[in-house]
Amino acid sequence: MSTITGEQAAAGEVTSPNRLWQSIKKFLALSPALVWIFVLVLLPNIFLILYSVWENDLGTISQNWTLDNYSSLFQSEVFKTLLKRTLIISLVSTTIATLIAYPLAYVVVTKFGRYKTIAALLIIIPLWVSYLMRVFAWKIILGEEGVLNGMLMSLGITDKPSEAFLYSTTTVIVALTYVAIPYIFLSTYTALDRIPRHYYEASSDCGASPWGTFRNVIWPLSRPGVAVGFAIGFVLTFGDYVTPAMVGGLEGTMLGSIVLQEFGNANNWPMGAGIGVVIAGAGLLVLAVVSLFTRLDARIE
Amino acid sequence: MAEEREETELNTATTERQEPSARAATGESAAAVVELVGVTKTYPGEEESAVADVDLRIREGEFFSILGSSGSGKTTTLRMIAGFEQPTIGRVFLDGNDATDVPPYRRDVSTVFQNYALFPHMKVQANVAYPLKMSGVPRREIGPRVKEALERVSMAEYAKRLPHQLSGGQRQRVALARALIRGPRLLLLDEPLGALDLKLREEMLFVLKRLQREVGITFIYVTHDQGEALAMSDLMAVMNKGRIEQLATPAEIYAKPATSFVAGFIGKTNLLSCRHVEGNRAEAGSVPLILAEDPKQSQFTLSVRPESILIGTDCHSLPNRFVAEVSEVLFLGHEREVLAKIGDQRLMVRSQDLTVGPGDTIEFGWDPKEAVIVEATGG
Ligand SMILES: Nc1ncnc2c1ncn2[C@@H]1O[C@H](COP(=O)(O)OP(=O)(O)O)[C@@H](O)[C@H]1O
Ligand SMILES: [Mg+2]
Repeated sequence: MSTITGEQAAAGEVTSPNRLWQSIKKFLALSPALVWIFVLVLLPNIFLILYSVWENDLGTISQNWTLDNYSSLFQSEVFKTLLKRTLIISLVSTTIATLIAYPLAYVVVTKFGRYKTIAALLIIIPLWVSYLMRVFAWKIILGEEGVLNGMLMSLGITDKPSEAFLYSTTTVIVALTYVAIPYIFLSTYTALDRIPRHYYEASSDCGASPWGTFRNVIWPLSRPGVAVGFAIGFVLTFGDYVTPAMVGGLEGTMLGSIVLQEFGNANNWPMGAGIGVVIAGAGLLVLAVVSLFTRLDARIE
Repeated sequence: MAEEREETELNTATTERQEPSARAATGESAAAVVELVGVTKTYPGEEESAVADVDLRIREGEFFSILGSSGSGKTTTLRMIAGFEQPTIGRVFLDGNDATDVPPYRRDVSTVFQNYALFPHMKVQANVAYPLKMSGVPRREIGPRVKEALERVSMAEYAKRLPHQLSGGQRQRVALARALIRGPRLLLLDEPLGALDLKLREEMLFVLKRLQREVGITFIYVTHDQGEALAMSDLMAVMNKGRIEQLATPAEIYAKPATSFVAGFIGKTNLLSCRHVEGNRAEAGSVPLILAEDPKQSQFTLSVRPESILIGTDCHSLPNRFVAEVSEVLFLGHEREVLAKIGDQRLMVRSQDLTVGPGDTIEFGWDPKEAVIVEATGG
C-alpha cells in the first residue's frame, strides 16, 4: 500500500486503472470483515424475513409467498395490545434507566477525580452477574415470600403478603430498567469521560454557572453517547422475554414471549418470524430517530 | 548612552516597586487588580509545593509576565488567580476583595488557555458570543459586539467556521476574542504562543501588545520564553521551583539579576564564585577582581554578561583587565563566542575579531559597575 502511495505522489496524479486496482485492494482487505457481517448479521435476518413471507401449513412451512402472516398479525387484538404494551414498557424503562444512568455517569466523571474508574466499575459490576441471577434477585425482593413483603409486614403496614409487587407491568418496568442501566451508564460514561477538563474550565471562565456549563457545553457534547445508550437500552428491553416470563405474569407479557410461543408450542414459524421482523423493525425505527441526535459537528481534542 | 538610559529606567523601576509594598503596609490596596498574599499550593498527594510562598501585586493596566522553566509553577499560579485551583495556604485578592473562595464564573477574569479550549461544537461566532450570552447580555447587542471583537483580531470572515476548521494561529485569535469580549478586568494568558511557529509567534506578539494598549486591560502573561517576557512586559516575575526569584522591570532583571538563577536564565552570563579579600577587592579562584562596591558577604557569586566584557584596546583603561588564552571559539554569524581561560576560571566573551582561534591570547576586561553580585540560589 505504502509503495503505491509513494509512486502516486511521485507521478503527481493517479491514473484510473491504478485507482480501480486500489479500490479492489481495499475491498479485498475488508473482505474477511464483510464475510463475517454477512454470515452473522445479514443471513439470519434474510432468513427471518423469508420465513415471515412463507406460508404456514399446519406446522410445516411451504415456500409460497404470502403476506397473510402480517395481515393476521395486525388484525389480532392480542398482538396489537402486546405491541403497544411492549413499546410502552420498553420506552418507559429505557427512559427511566437513562434518567438514572446519565446523572450517575456525570457525577462519577466530574466528582470522583482519580477514583472515577473504580466507581464506574462498581456500577457496571451488575453486568457481570448472570442475567437469570438478576431476575431471580428481583423475585426474592418482590415476591410473596420476598424481602419487600416481609419488611412491610414487620412494619405493620400490611398484614398479609401481597402479590401485587410481582407479576405486573410495573414489576417488568422496574426489572427492565435495572437491566438497561449498566449499558446506558457505560455509553454515557464513555461520552462524558471524553470531554476534557479544560472545556468545563473554559466555560466557567466565560462566566457560565455549573448548570450553564452543563446545558451549553457538556450536554451537547455528550448527547450522542446518551442517544447510543438509549438505543442499546431500547433494543435490549424491547426484545426481552426472560424478564416478563419470570416477573411479569399475564399483565407483563411482552412481544418476545409470543415469539417464543410461535416458534415453540404453536409451531408456527412464519408467524413467529413475522413478529420477529416487527421487533427488528421497531428497533431500527428507534435507532433512526435516535441517530438524529448522535450527529455532532465537532471534534473533541 | 545606552547605559545611561538603562540606569534611569532602572531607578524609576525601583521607586515604582517600592510604592505598592509601602501601600500594602498601610493596608491600602486601591489600584491592585490582583494580589497574592503568602500563597502556597501543594497538590494532594505531592510532597513538594507547586507554588511556594508567593506574594504578587499587579496593578491596573499593567502587562505583567511570569517567566520560568517548565514545572516552575507558572500555570498553577495562573489557575489560582482564575479560580480553578485553591491555594493550600494564603489568600487571593481581586480588586482588593478576598476572592480565594470565589468560583471562576464569578470572577471578572478571562483566560486564554494553552490549548485554546474553544468549544468544538460551536461556530466561531457562538464561541465568541458565549461569555456575553452567559452574562445575560440582550440578544440584539450580542451580534454587533461579536462582529467587532472578531474584526479586532482579523477573524470576521471565519465567523461561521467550526474550531477544527481553523489553523492554530486562527484558533488563537478566536480564543483571544472570546476572552476579551466581556471586557474583563484581567486577562490571563498561559503560554499562548507555545503552539505556534516562529513567524506567527512574532506576529501574535505584536497583536497582543497592540490589543493590550487598545483595550487597556491588565494582562498576566505566562511564558518560558525570556525573549517574549523581556519584550512585552512592564513588570515581570521570574519563577523557579514554585518561588519568585525576582520581580522587577525587564531592564532591571536583565541588568541587575537578583540571583544566580535569574542571571543564568535571562540571557547568557558568566557566573564567578568569589571570595572577599578586602575593601572592593575580591578573588575568583586565583583571579583577583575589582568590584564597584564593597560586598556584604565574604562568599558571593558575581555575574558578568559577555556583552559587557570589552576586548583588546577598548579595555586598557579598565581596572579589571586580563590576558587570557582562548580555549574554544563558536561562530555565531555576526560575531564569535570565545571561551577564554584566566587562571582556573573560564569566561565567555564576545568578539567581532574573526581571526581569533583556539590557542591565541586575548586581552579583555570589564567595568566593575557592569558586574552584578547575585544571591546564590539554593539548588
Ligand atoms: N494537577 C496536578 N497534580 C499534581 N501535581 C501537579 C498538578 N499540576 C501541576 N503539578 C505539578 O506542579 C508543578 C508546577 O506545575 P505547573 O504549575 O504546571 O508549572 P509550569 O506551568 O510552570 O510548567 C510541577 O512539578 C507539576 O508536576
Ligand atoms: Mg504551564
